[in-house]
Amino acid sequence: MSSQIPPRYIPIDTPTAFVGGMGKVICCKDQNLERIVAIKFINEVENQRRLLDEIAALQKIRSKHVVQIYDIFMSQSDQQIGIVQEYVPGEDLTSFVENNTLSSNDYLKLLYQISSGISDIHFQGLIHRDIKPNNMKFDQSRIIKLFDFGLARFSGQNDSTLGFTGTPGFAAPELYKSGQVSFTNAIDVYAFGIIAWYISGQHFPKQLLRIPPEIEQIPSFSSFGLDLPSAICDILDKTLAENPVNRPTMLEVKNLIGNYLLLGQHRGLLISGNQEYVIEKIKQVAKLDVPNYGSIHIKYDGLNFIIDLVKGAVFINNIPAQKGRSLPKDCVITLGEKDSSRLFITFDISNPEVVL
Amino acid sequence: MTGDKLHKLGDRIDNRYEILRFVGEGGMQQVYCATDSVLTREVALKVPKNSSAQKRFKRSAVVSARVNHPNVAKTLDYIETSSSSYLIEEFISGKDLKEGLLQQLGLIDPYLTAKILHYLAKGIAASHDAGVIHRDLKPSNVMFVGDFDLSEIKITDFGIAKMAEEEIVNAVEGGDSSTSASATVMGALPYMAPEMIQDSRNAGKPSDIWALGAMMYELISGQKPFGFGLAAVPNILVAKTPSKPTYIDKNIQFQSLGNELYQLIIKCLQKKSDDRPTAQELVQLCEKLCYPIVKRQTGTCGYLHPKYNWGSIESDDKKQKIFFHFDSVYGNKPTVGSRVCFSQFPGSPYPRAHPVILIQGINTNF
Repeated sequence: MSSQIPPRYIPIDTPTAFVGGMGKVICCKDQNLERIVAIKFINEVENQRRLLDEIAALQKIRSKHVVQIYDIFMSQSDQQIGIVQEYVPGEDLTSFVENNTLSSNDYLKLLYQISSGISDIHFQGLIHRDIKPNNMKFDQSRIIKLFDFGLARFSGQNDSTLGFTGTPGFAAPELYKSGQVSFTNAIDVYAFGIIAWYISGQHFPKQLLRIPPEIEQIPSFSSFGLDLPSAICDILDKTLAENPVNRPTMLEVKNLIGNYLLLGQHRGLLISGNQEYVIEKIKQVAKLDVPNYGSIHIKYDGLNFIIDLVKGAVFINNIPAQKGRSLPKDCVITLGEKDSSRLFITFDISNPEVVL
Repeated sequence: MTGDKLHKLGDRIDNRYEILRFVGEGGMQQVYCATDSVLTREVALKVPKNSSAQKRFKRSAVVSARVNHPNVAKTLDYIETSSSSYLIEEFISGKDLKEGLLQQLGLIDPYLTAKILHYLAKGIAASHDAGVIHRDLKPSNVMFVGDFDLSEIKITDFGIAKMAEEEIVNAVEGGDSSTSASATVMGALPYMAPEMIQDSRNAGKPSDIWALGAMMYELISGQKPFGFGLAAVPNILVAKTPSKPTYIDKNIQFQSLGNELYQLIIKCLQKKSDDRPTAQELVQLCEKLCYPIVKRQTGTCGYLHPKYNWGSIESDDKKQKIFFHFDSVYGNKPTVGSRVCFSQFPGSPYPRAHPVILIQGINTNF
């Protein structure tokens, strides 16, 4: 084998080197930290400094849904870089989808995990660039993990074939434009939308496979038999918007899906003067009626705390309260006209998390 | 007590890590900040001080490297050279809870305490899931970034906990108070579970939960739950329930969350380790708490109304006038000229500060 692996890594099994989008991959036992690692090699690295910077940034990700990058090493000639990663045994999303039918709750939980992983990558200022089902695997605890960041672009060898277009079908329309292609992390959001189609079990529209994809004609997620909440369908539809600026951020998608998975699990606490109100049941209403000051009624709909009634001068964080709006997390409600005696009410929401 | 430095600035280890500065030392190890020349980043480099520590080092590294969580300082690598072994950890450019928070604020309002408890419980749960026990949780082992905002909170020193335990056994059995070990023991004692005092080999996951409860009690009350130094030992052994912090019930704004936190703390400080919640259960209990996460800032109390229960603060950043009511103060009331830490909400004619806590400066009770 031509690759020079530091002696701490001992290849395991038959060194089944396989060639993927990123080049050769071998599994090794790291003797120093006594763990199995997957080592990927990138050949003929052109912009080494940028590759190292990107790997350093990837290393800062502490996500449940992103494969860890442990270390890198260079061959003596510097012609090849080895990337030492967490080894995740288990099936990838492609084979999972082929062998399972998802309930709408399973579907949302899967999308929640994928959107969490992508938004954790975006949080570090990075773009994955190659989001597709065979770049996601389930670990032993059935947690999905993203891997194979688009590092292949640093290799001169692959530039002409892969370019920045990634994998057809998952590549956003802006990637097919001619000339200098500039793009943002919205390409990952588009690929996420394609994954949402792919794992839905619905017939995959041919228009999405055209080069470039013909987005205008594809049906809405609301036409699916999965019976998804309309707000979820709306945001999923927007992930496939032609114009990248019209796509939601991955964090928005994750938060919205998370909120539906946490239906009815939030708790709101209002504290006013000498009284406190806890709102935790769906349809429960807290009524604050204070003579000479004003009234505000707050209702929990299972997702948000909605202003159900406003009378008199009521302000939320100093902005006039409006019926039908939901209360922001951690706000202050004041009753009474500005520049006169006012009542100060704090409102806080609990921090439930999705259990996978 | 500071011994000889094992490395000097500019030393290059394994042809990769270059020593930038000495950070500190415990009984068993020295810690340096170094540059990782391959990935051009700062790392914490830990070096064992003697051969008995060397043996433990690898085991600690292997175990702690399994944990991957935003609230735990990441163990990055372990290397051996001809002269020593080294543990490489994520370098956190921040302060620890003891120096950066407790010594500055004295006590912390229930909102911030709830956030810290929730994050630490998550970090401990991830560690326990990976089979890793810390054994030496204390405020100086919790680092944070971002002033009183605590934008990042990370537990450190999972790697050396087992060694700290040995040091404690030696000190408890030897009873020698003049060695450097005594500093470690005195620092660890207030947070040590009864089963660990009886025999530190009893340390298990519930001992971490106890330590977390003891730390949280100190944050919300400004007092160590069982007293300081050796005087704490008899109280810990009988798990004497620490009294409810007096400020919790003083005003309604903090009463609800404060009492919920106190109940959680009491659950963690149960004598029988089986009676304590697991870290995962604690995380779920924390998810039910209603606490705001609003940016913290600092300022100086500029005015107090002579008759009514309100005053104003001048903020440090924008020199803006901010109104506050005494109902929003947790702990001692500020006087004119007091330094305060607070969150700000929009208001009219002035923004409103809530909550407000006094910055006491260096508290020498530690």
